[in-house]
Amino acid sequence: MTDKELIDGFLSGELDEAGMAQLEAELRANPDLVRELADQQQIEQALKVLLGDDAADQQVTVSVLSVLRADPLDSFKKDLLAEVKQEAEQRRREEAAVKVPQLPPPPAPAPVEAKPVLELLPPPRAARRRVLPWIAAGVAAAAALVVLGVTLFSGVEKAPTVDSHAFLLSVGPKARVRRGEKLLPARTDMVLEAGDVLTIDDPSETKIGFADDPTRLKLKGPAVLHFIQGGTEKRVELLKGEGEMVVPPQTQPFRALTPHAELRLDQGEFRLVSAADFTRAEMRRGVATFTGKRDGRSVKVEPDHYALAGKDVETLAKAMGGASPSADGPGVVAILRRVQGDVFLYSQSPADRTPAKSGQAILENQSILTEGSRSSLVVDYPDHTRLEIGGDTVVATLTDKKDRTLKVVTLSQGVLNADVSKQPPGKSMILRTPQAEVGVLGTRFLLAADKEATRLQVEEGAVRFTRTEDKKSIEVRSGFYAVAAPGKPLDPAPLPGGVRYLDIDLNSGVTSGEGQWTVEGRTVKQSRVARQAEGGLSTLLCKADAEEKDSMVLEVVAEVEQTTPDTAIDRGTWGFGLEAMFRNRSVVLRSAQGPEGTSVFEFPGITAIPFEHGREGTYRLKLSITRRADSGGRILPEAVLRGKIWQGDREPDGWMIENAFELDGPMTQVGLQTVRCACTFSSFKVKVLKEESR
Amino acid sequence: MRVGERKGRVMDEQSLIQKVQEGNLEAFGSLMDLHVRRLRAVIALNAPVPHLIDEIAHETYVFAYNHINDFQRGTSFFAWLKSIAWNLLRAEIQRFSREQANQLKYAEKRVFDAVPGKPLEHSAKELDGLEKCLERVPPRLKQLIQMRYHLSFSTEEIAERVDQSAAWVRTTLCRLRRQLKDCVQDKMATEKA
Repeated sequence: MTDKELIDGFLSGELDEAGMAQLEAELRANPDLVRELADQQQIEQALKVLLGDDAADQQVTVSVLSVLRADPLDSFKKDLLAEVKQEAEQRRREEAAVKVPQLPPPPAPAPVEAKPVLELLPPPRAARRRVLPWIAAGVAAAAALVVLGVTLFSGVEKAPTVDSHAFLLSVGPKARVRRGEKLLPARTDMVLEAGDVLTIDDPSETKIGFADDPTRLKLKGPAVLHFIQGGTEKRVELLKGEGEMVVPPQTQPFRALTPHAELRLDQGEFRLVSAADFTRAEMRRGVATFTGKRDGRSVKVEPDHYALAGKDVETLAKAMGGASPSADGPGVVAILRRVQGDVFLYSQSPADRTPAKSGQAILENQSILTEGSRSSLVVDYPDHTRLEIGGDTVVATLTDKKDRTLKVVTLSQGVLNADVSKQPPGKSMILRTPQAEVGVLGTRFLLAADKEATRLQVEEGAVRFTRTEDKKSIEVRSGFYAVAAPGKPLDPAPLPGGVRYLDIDLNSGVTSGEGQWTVEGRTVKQSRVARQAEGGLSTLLCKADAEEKDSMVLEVVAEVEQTTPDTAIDRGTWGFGLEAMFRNRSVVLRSAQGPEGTSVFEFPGITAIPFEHGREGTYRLKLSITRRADSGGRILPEAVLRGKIWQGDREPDGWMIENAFELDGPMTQVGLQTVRCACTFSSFKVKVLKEESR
Repeated sequence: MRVGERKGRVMDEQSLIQKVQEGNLEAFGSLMDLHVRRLRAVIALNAPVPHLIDEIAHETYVFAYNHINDFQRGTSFFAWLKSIAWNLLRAEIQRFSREQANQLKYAEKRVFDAVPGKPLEHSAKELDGLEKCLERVPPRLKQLIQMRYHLSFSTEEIAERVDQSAAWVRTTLCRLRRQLKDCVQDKMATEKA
């Protein structure tokens, strides 16, 4: 796709993964494109607003009004409740005075007529701003509160009739109410009648309030709620989705039903999840009784506990977020890092899940579930193999059930990026999806699976990809992808606009100087500064399988995580560089910090200082090699070599070095070099931006 | 908008503001209706991520209502809204960049970083320019714009209706937005000169 197509695809939200990868590559390579994309996005947003229909305008207006209305109602209720309390207190004092035995009986009181409840309303107030639109609802709520107050504080056994309705406090854009045969659009302030079914089709939130007390339900779509009844015996049925419910003290238990369970409580706060196969209730406050419909078992659920019931789950209650095992404890297979959004671990059923935390250990029998497209986490194995797990993903296993040292990852659905360290011979890492199996000894790739198909996209190295249906197996190399799906051809295809990476084996690198380099997965640590070697130089060079092409552009990327200049000697400049090695020539571009805070580039004729040298950050070395041919088309040994180095994402224009050299053969090694300092690097990789042969 | 209409609207606006200052919430609803589209469009020209547009518009109105007594009758209500929106947007961008930007995809992050902060007064002029430039778009291309932004058709649906490839639609829309941006910038430069 061209840049223009990529930009429009991005703005319209129609770019697929490959397109997004191509756009990212283009943005990295071309800083002007970022500006263009930003300009285009602003015009796009403005056109959408100017020319779109007025639904979004109305949504803003409605949401503002609902916020402005909610506040005075709450304070109105609060004031009213305080006045009711005062009334009740007064009455209790009067009754207590009447019951004092030593006093002579008082004269018989004049018969008191039962007064209508509304007479207990406070005297008329001065007109208050923002109350007017809520007069009707306020009066109803006031009446209900007065009744509640009288019930609570005067010990009256039975409450008179109360308002048994609920109403919608705020609504998501795709909420609807089914009332009998009618399907009505849901609106803020709409009254919910007994029997109404509220459906929310999108991931928005809808809030429900009750007319007689501050009971609140917050539903997270998609969800379906059957409002059975309000009043003193509130009952709702959550047919699908999840909701948070806050229940103030009730005279009769509040009941929340689902297809698998029933929850009853007198007061409290809880989250209820109603899935197709199970129901889960998490108590935050108060105590509830939870009854599973399948086995009829009832359990008590206390604060910070959850209860489960479902098709394949015995009804139970457990403490939430039990103690996490230590990283080196028995059965630990990996550690979770960078947990974002809704990420859970479970053992037998997704119903029985607990929220995952960064730094937590995962055990051999545990599975991972992420909910929502923005949820993600990283799984680190002890050998530095790393899985980056995306949103809406289920990873059922991380190791073989019998042999924990064998990595067997079952991706039931969703997406993961794997960065696999070199595995021992005979112990290939295996990744399984519903349609395919991937065997790997050490490489980087992306795997995505859903019900119909599995897609494999290889970033670096090569991967064996086997379709489960017919055991057909292919090799997919860097820069290629393949899709396994029933009835579809299983062939590797080049990634559109995809980027190829050279195979780099950090473990088989050669070192010079005394730097003491150690490799842990993708991280390279230099534990000692080279002092004896010439100029304090220390180098790690690794084999890079570049083919000889007529023209080639490579980008070496290294994340410098830590730098420690040698303070033990009276040093000159210190820093680090990236080095490319040809059979007969080495090219080093180095960034260094001068002895008195000055910055220098350590190659001739370059004085530009585009970044702070010798510091942590992402460094990139770009090399362009263009070979020349004689009139007969034979490749000459002389090549034009251009290079530049920079820190961060903003690539400097032009080249920093440009020379004609005799280069014998392709690039054979690539690596890192330090000068009078010790560094830690990670994510070292070599991207092939362009390669052409005549 | 004709002069008579504008005058009528200003009078409506001033009487609505008076009612709101007297505590009439429904009048505030009508007042919002007068400006919501343009306020959202001005924010859209500055928001680094689309979902901030409606968030900021919402917060602007809530703030305006709660401080309506601070508004000086007789001055421009829209200018007051813009200044509130500008302050909220700046604060939100700072907060957003601290808390959320690391969750953005790479391309979103780059756009987020690249969008410059500019006063909303500047964006209001840009918006005027954009409306004028839109009038100059040839009918055939205007049809594309209508299909994308008014009817919310997908690229494939547009391609089918104009009998062109999806690539043509994407490229043409991209060029069109660039031309609109250039046209707006030219207009602003001319006005400045």
